[in-house]
Amino acid sequence: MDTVRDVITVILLGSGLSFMLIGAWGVVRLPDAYHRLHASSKCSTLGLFGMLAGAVVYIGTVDALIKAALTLLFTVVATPVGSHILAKAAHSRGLRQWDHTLSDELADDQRDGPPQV
Amino acid sequence: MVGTVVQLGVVTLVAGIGMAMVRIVRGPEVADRVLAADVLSLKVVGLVILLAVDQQRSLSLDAALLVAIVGFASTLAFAQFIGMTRSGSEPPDDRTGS
Amino acid sequence: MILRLGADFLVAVLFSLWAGRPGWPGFVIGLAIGFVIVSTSDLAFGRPNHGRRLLWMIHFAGYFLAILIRANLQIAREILTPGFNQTPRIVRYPVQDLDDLQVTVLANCITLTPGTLVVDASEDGRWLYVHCMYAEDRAKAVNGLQKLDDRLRREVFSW
Repeated sequence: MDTVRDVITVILLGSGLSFMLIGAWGVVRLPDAYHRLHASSKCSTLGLFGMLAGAVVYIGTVDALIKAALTLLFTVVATPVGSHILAKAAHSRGLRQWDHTLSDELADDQRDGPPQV
Repeated sequence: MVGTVVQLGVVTLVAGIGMAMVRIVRGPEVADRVLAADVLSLKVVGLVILLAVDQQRSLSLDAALLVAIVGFASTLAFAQFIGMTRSGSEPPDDRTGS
Repeated sequence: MILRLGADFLVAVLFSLWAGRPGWPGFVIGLAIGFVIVSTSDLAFGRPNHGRRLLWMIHFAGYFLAILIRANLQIAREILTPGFNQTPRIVRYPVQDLDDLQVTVLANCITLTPGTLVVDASEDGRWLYVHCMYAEDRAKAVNGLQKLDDRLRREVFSW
């Protein structure tokens, strides 16, 4: 029983940790701030999910489940909201985009006004 | 077995913090630095969770929730700061808007 | 709906405190009792049964977890293989007939699905601006967003 629990814990913790590392490496490597926000929001959320699930399986009390659920709920709500706000602030400041960006309809609409339906 | 993973995990997360520091130092824009700081705070949350796993007690998970909240609040404050510097006092040699 | 789920959860916590068994069995029994109480009140007030909505929401949560994992695998492949082959684009997406909370939920879901990130919402709340990483073909990118939107409307927003 303990061995099964340990194996599940190791799998969950390991996948969470590797996604967190990949997210950090993406923040260093990707070409512009929007791509970095892709990496940070997605990988941090799934990484924390994996690590919290591993912690709950290993500790195994209702206390841990409730605390981990609260932390996870907060993370799933707050990480995307934080990246929306950062992206909005960066765009309103006129952040230079990657050279291969095909089109920017937000800049078009800020210049000409949004289309009427 | 879990102890080994916890030790490896501390190394992994510290490496992640180092990468975020690289982006904080190098980042060409303020937004890059702020998002790297956000990633760094989430890595600290991960470290606290590893502490809880190591002790096998749920006490430290409270601290994880607190660190997550503080990190989110600081991200909000910095984003507000980025927005303000644009609409309020424009530095005279700002060429990013054109 | 959220109120009723919260009542369910509250009954579970209260029961496990009251029974003096703050472990797994007390919590699960409390959840069952809360479910029965809330379902009875649903029947009494003639509201749609909250159990079925709960099942739909769990179904959506499973789908959400699956697309979150797929998003992570996609961006991990982009990060770990040398060279970049993204074709990024910022597209606008119409959200005219949703209220503020629903737009927030939709924006969070869009940010956590593969290759998309919400950048801004227009002042009047009628458009979302989405940064798509692989949008060589604009219509295909908007189609992917539309699929998530339809699913969310069918399974979560139809309270």
